[in-house]
Amino acid sequence: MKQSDYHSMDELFKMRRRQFLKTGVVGSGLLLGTPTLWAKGQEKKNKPAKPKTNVADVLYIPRTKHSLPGPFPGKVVEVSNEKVLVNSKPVPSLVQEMVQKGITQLTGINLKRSFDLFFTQDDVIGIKVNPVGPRLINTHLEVVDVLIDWLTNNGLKRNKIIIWDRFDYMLADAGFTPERYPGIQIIGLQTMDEAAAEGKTKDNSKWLDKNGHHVSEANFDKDVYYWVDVDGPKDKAYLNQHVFNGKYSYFGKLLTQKLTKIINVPVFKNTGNGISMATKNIGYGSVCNTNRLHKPLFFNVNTEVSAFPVIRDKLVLNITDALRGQYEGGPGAAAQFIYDYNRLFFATDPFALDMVCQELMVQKRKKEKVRVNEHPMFTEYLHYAERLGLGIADERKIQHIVV
Amino acid sequence: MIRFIAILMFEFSLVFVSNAQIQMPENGFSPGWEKSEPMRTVKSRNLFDYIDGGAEIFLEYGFKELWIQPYQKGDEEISIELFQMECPASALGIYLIRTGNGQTNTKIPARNSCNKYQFTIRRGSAFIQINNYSGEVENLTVLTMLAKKLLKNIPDEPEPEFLNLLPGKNLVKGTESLIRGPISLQPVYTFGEGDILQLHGKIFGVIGDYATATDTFTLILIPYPSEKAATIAYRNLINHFDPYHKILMKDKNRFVFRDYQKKYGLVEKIKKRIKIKIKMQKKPA
Repeated sequence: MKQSDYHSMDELFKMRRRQFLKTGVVGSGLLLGTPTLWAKGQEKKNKPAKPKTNVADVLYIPRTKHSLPGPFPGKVVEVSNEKVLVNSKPVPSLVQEMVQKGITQLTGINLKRSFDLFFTQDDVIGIKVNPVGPRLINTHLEVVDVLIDWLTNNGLKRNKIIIWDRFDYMLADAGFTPERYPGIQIIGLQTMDEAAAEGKTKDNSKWLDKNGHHVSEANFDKDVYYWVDVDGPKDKAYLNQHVFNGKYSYFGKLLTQKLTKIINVPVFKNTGNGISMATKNIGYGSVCNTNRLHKPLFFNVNTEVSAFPVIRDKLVLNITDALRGQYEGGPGAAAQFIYDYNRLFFATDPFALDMVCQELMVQKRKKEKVRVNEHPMFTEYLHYAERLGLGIADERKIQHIVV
Repeated sequence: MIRFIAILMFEFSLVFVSNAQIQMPENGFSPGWEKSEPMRTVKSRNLFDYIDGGAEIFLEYGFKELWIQPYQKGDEEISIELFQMECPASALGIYLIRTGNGQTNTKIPARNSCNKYQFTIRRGSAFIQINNYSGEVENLTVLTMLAKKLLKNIPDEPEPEFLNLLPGKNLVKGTESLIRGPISLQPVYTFGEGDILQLHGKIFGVIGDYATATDTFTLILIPYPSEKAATIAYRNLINHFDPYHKILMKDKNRFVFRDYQKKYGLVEKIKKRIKIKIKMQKKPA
C-alpha cells in the first residue's frame, strides 16, 4: 500500500452504489442502500466533516472464511456464575466451567470441534489482553489460563501462543510475565519510558535512539497502516507514548507478520458514555500514534482499524472479561466504580458483543445513579461497522443468549 | 446579586496551596510505613501522560498541579494523589463526578467518599485520592491516619455556593454536579458539537435532577457574567442545536424541543442566566 493514497468514504459509497446497480447483488443492500441514506442524513444534520482516512482502500480486499463477523454474526453468549469470585478473586475451576460453557454455547459444538472451527495446530495465536488497571480491572490471568489450556489441549504448542498488548510495561504490571507463563511468549508492541513520560527524568535514552527515533519504531510495519488526515503532536512526551507522530498509525509487525489468529479478551468498562471493550481493545491496541485520533474520530477508529484484513481476517473470537466491571471513570481504573459482575461474554462478532455490553453498561450506570447520556452518537460506530459488513449492531438482529 | 458576587469570587479567587506548603506525611506516620520514592509533581502539560484518557476533564474544571506520594510497608502499597485545582468549585466539580457509592468516613475532617480501594476527598481547592492498591481492609485505618495528617496542611475553604442556585424543592439529593465545558457536559446531555453552551472552561453551570408528583427532569442553570454573554450562548445553542432533537417552538428567549428519546426539553434565557430543563415526560407549555 503506497503511503498517502486513500479513498474517501464518499467515493467508496459512490463506487459501491455503481457496483450494486451493475451487479444487482441483493445481499449488498445493507452496504449500499444504508450508506446513501446515511450520507444524506449526515448532510441534513450538518455535522462537521470527519477527517479523511484510508479505510476505503482495504474494503475491497477479498474476505476469507475467518473474516469478521465470523461464523456467528450477531450472536452473543453471556455466562454468569455468582460464585466465580471469592473476595473479588476468580476461582480457577469456575472460570474454566464458564469459558467452556461460553465457547460451546457460542459454537454449538464441543471444545475440540470449536478449536477446529477457529484454528489449526499451525496457527500462531495472539491473545490480546487489556492490562490497564493492574490488579483492579485488567484481563484476569485465570481467564487467559483457561484459554491456553484449551489451545494446548488441542495440540497447539505453547510457543505458538503469544499474550500481547500495545505496551510491554503494562503487561508486566498486570502479571503477564514469562515466569507466570513459561513457554508462552509475552509481547508488547512498544515500550514507553514511564519515568520520562511522567517527568521524573530528563533522560530520554531509554526510549529515544541517537537518531531521534523511538526505539520501538522497528516493531511497526510501515507497509500496513491506518492513515488519517490528522497530525500527531510533535512533542517528545507524545512520541514516547505513541512511537510516531505523523498521519500514519502503523500496525504492529506482530499482527502483520507473526500472528495468524487473534483471541480478543477485553474487560467490561466504560469510557465516558461509551464503552472500552472488544472493539476499542483491538482498535486502539493494534496500531501506534493513536491519541491524535481520539478527538476527531474516537470510536470510529474501532470500526475502521477492524476493517483492515490484519484484524478482520485474524480476529476469530472475543471474550469480554466481565468477572469484574467498571461503570464510571474508565478507561483508566477507578476503584470506587469497580464491582464484581461475575460474567463472561462470548462472540465472534465484536460489534454485536459491544452493542450488548453497551446496553448492559447503560443499565448499570442508571442503577448506580450515574448520569447517562444515551445519545445515538455513542453507538454510531457500531452501526457504521454493520454498514461495512464487519458485524451486527441492529439490536433486532442480535441474538443475546444468557446462560 | 450577592449570590452572583459570591459565585464570581469562587470563579476568580484562586486559592492555591503552594508547592512549598505541600507536606506529605513523613516516614513512620504509622508504624512501618515509609515513602517508597520521592514525591512526584505532574504539571498540566504532562497530565495526559499520567491519566491517559482522563486528563481532559481535570483540565476543563481547572487543573493546576498534581503531587503524588507513594508509601510502602512490606508488600503493601498505598499512595496519595493530590490534585491542586484552580478554586474550590473546580475541586468540587471533579469530586462530584469521581465519587462512587462510597461511604463517608466521619473521622476525616472534609467532604469524602471512601471504599476499601480508595478514599476520595475534597478540601478547599484540593481534590485528593488516597489509594489502597491491594484493597486490604487492614490498611484502612492507615489511610484514615494519612488523610488526617495530610489535611492539616491544606487550608479549608467553604464549599462553593454554586449549588445553592438549584431550587431545593423536589431536588433529588446527591444528583448535584457542576459543568464547565463540553467534556463535563458530555455525560449529562448532548446539545450540539463543541462548547455549545459557551462555557469556555471558565463559567460554571450547576445541574440537579428533580422529581415532582407529575414529572421528572434534569435542571441545568448557567449564570453568565453578563446578559450579553448569555445572549451569545443562547444564540449559539439554537443555531447549532443537535440535529437529533427537534425544536417544536422557539422565540427570542425561549424554545421547546423533543429529543431522540421523545422526551421534552425547555431552554430559557432569563437576563444573565440560561435555564434548561431536559428529559421531561410532559411537553412544557
